Amino acid sequence: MRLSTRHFLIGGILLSVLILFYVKTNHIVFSEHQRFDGCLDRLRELDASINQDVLKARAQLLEDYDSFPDQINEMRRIVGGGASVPSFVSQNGRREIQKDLKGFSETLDQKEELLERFKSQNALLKNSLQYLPLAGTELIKQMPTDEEGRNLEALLNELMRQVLAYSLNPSEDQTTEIQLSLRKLSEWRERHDDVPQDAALASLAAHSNSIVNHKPRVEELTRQLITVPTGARIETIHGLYDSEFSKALQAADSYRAGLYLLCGMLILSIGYTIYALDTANIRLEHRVAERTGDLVRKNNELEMEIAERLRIEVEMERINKKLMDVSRRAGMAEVATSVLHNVGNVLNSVNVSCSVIGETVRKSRIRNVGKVAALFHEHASDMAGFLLHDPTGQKLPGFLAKLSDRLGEEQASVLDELQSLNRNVGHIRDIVAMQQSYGNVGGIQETVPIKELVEDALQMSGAALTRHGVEVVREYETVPPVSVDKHKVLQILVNLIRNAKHALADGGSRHKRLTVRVASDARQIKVSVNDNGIGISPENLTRIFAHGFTTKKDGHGFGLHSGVLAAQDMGGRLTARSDGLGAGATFDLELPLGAGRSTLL
Amino acid sequence: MYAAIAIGLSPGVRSAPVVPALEAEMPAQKRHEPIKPIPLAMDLDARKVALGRMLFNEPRLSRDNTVSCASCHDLRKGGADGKKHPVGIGKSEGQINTPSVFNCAGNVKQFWDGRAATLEEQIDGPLQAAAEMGSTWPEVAGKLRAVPEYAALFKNIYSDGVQPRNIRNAISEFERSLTTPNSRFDKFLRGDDSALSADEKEGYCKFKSYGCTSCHQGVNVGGNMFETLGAMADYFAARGGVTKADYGRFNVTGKSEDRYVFKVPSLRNVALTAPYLHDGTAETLQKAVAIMGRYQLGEELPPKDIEQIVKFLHTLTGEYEGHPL
Repeated sequence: MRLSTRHFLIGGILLSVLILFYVKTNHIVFSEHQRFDGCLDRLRELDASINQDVLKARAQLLEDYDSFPDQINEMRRIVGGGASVPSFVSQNGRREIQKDLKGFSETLDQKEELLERFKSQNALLKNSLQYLPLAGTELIKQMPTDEEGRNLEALLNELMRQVLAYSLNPSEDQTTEIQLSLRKLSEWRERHDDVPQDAALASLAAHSNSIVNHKPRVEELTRQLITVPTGARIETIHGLYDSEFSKALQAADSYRAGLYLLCGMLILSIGYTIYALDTANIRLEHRVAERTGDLVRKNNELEMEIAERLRIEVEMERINKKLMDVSRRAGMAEVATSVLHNVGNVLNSVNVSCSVIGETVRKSRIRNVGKVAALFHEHASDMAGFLLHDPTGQKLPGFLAKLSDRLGEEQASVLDELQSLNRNVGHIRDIVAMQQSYGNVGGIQETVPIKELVEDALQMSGAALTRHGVEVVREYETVPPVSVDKHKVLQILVNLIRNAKHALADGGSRHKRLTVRVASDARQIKVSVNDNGIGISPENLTRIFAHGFTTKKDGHGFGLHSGVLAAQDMGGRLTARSDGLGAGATFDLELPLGAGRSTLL
Repeated sequence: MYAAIAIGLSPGVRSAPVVPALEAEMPAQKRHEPIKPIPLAMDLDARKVALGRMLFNEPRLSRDNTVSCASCHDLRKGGADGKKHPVGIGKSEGQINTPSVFNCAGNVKQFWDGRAATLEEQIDGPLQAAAEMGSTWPEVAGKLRAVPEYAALFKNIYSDGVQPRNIRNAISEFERSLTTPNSRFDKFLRGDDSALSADEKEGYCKFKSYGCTSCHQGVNVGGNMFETLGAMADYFAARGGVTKADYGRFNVTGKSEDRYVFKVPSLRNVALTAPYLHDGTAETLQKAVAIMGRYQLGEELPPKDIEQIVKFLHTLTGEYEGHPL
């Protein structure tokens, strides 16, 4: 299975989705949630604390107002920077929450403004409340003890009681009562506009009025402060945020489910892939086995083919051997032919010698000796006379002398012929002996002087060459002895010489010349057989070594072929050169100087 | 599950007490006093404070390089200038008395009319006011950037170097360091009864019983609220010559009930910061206390009481950097 772009694409997409799901699963940053949630809690806490302090201050239980700016400023800091909406909140939710935070901030401004008014009003109220009893008591202390003084004291006590009661629990009725008391005080002051306490009384009245005026304002501001919807806004934000948070949790859960699903799918697909790979592997193994089987079969076939080839080669070798054999036999026949020819020639001479001897013996004067002997027998009695007197007898000595000469001549002639006969028979024996020496043995490497082999070959063809009037030129260099199969070399050379003889015969040249050249270089010995005969046409130059090629009427076409094979067999080679028809031809037999290849044949 | 996560991750939401526990360092019987001692320790960035100090004394902040923050907020003069009205560049006179820069971080808002919610915002005022420094931020930042020493100092603290908001931040941080703890009164609050004389203690009692602590309370003995000047009597009618500056918080909110409303000034180191009131008309503390009695209480305070209260006010003078002011 090869990895394609498609595989990478699918893998990449799956991985991206997986990472996306993982990121989405983890997109809730709990620290952010904690911080934001904590901020909202803190805002709620601070808001409640401010309200608490407002109520404390209203009840004059708060000594100072430092806590208000501290708390307001902290809320500002939280809204302004601390309460960053967590990143997992959706765009819409974030907008909503930020809008509400802004709204809260505005409400907070409102609350702060109310708070500032509250503080101012409450301070004035407190101031008066604190000062009123002090001033009242001081005044009462200074009151004259007359009736008017007691009246004023009672009035002041009543006023203070009313105002303080009012300050604790303001009501319309009390306001009316206080107004009544203040009117009484005012009347008293009109009656006694010369008392030194007048300014103090005026101040007392002013503070009472201040309390009556400021208390409802403080109450109203307190109401407004408590009801200013900062807390409600925080709750709204909290609600919004909670729903966003649970949405985010749900989304994370969905993504987690998706992640699990995807993981499951991945595991399944990995399992499937493993299964598929396994299957593919098994299939592959099967195929490998099949292929191996195929290969084994092919191998077997090949082996069989090789065996067949070997067999064919062996057969070829056998055939070649047979061919060589035939060739050799043909060669032998060739040799035998020349031997028989030579022997025939010699036998002619033998025949002539025999005829001469027979004629000589048949015509011999030896019978004249018998005639002389019969005369002697007839004249046995008178031998002397006869010799002396008889005319015949008288001629006998001369006749005997002549006969002796004649017989002597005859003997010499016969002896001469016998000698010739003897020589010819010897010649025949030589020829046969030579034929035997080449005919029977082969395949034996011998170190021979190559010139002797060439000479033997020439001698074997010598009669035919002489008959055809071929001039043999020998150009022998001094060459080292070479280790060859003597018989094969001889066979090749005889063949070449015979071919040359034929080429010369067919060439019709007036001056027929056969040149045998022996030369050598560092590696090899070269025997060249050159003729100035009919030559070889270029198209035939390559074909002449082919098996069955011949230009002779009675040729069998394997002379040169077997010659080539024999040359190759000895590690050498046989080549032909010719400048074309009528230009003569040269055959070169090259034999390696090193030990020749051991022959198969 | 969420609970488990909450415990596990615990990002450390601060659950500080809603009200800072200043009381912790005070003896039980002093915990319910309206005045609280100035904390002895602060958590500030020393590098910013140092840079802020340089900038605070830097005349380059003004257009003609003659006026620095310290020109009017002289730390040797209780953080103010001792003048009725400040003198800015070109000898121009401001409209309102210079408030002390000491303990200014403890004020609910800045300026007499509270128009600046933070110290950072406050700096914009004098820096750009034609009668004070008459500068612009780009100009000031440019001038400071040209000073290699500043460029290096800013770069050390702020990644973006010399920027208006960084200048503001450094100055503000320095101003936050300008607290004056350890006044005799604070020592008294922390339990040292011998820190105050009998007169001073009496003054404090008068101060409370006249209702002064209705407004002058908390750590700064004021500064944490606004109040109408002339609550019981018309101060401005009596004084006359009402200017725009006299409208006070009305200039900020535009609401009629805020007319003549001012930030209640802190009385810390008040003995050092004459003249008094937003208009600088009270040359002495005695006068200031009398005016307060007259207009805020509707009462002519007896001179003896005034003297005692003034004696008490003198005990509010604290130390800056370990040295008495």
